[in-house]
Amino acid sequence: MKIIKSIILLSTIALSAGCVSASSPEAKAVAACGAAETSRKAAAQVKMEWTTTAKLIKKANTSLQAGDFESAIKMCNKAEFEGSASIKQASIESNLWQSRIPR
Amino acid sequence: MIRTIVLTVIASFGFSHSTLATPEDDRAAFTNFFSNRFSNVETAEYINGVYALDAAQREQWQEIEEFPPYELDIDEGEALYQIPFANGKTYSSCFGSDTSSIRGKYPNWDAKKEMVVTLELDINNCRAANGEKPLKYKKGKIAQLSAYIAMQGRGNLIAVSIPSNSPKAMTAYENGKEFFYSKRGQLNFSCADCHMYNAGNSVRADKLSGALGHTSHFPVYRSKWGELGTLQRRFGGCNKNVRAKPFASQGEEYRNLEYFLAYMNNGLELNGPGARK
Repeated sequence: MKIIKSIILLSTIALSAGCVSASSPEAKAVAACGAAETSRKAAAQVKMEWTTTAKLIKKANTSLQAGDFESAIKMCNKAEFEGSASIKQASIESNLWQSRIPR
Repeated sequence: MIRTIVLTVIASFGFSHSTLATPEDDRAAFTNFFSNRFSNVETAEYINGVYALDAAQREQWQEIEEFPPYELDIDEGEALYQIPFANGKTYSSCFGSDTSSIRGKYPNWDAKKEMVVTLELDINNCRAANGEKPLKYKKGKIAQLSAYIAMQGRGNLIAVSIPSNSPKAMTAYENGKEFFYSKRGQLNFSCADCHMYNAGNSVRADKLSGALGHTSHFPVYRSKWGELGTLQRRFGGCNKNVRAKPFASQGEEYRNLEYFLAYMNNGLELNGPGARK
């Protein structure tokens, strides 16, 4: 009985450790959403945040909490791309806006 | 080497406009743009927004203006303006007794605070100076007060000034200009893309108005809102339309944008409040 209990306990510990290991889907989703939030904040910093980015991250977090890691990763990757695109947009526009002034 | 020099010279010419152009140069080019785009529309007509560009919609709008939907708001605004604060003073203690001259003073550059001040911001400044809580900026009481003041100032000409001895005022103007011409949002549109280069064109069932005259008629009663709203509420709505996160009403970005746009409208008549789709 003692042995069985120990095996169950060890398996639980091993499984828990597996869940938070870097290669687990949950860890990947957490990392993707962390990167997305960093990217969104950087876009806000340059005053070019899109309305769609925060919504995506919010939705992804709901999926994450529900254990749908695949969807969470997909949405957070998209949000991270949007943040990067906003920053790129800010950089391009800092040079291009003057070309739109009527002469 | 020669190629690099040539490119540098071309680039410097390309980008010299903004640094060399005065606000007056900008305004002349802005007005000319619309004169060339719509040669049959008188400049003075642009204060009527899209109704200057579309005869059919203009007819409907003129009928709406016969019994304006903002009429009750003006009455409310007048009452709010005259009701004394808890300390017994009224808005007149801040704005003076001549209500017809208030609207035309905004937006302006406050040299002491070193910032652009709008009418709505000063309404709340007045409230704060008299120990009252601030009003929310987009709609409701502040829009009603603004509508009453706008009505009193109808017919005066827009005359925004940028103090020549203030580089910070010039920077605020330039920042507003940069905002207007910069593409933003997921849809990658600038204010100018819609309200200059596509003015008069349709977006679904609606025609886009020209930016010239945009600040003359606010606050407006929008049928879409079913109520009165301020100019900066509209700025936020426009930004959302292109999926750009809007800025806070009366934050620096929108105050500077209002400063630039209002300067472009110098010489046009104030005709607020207005009714719009």
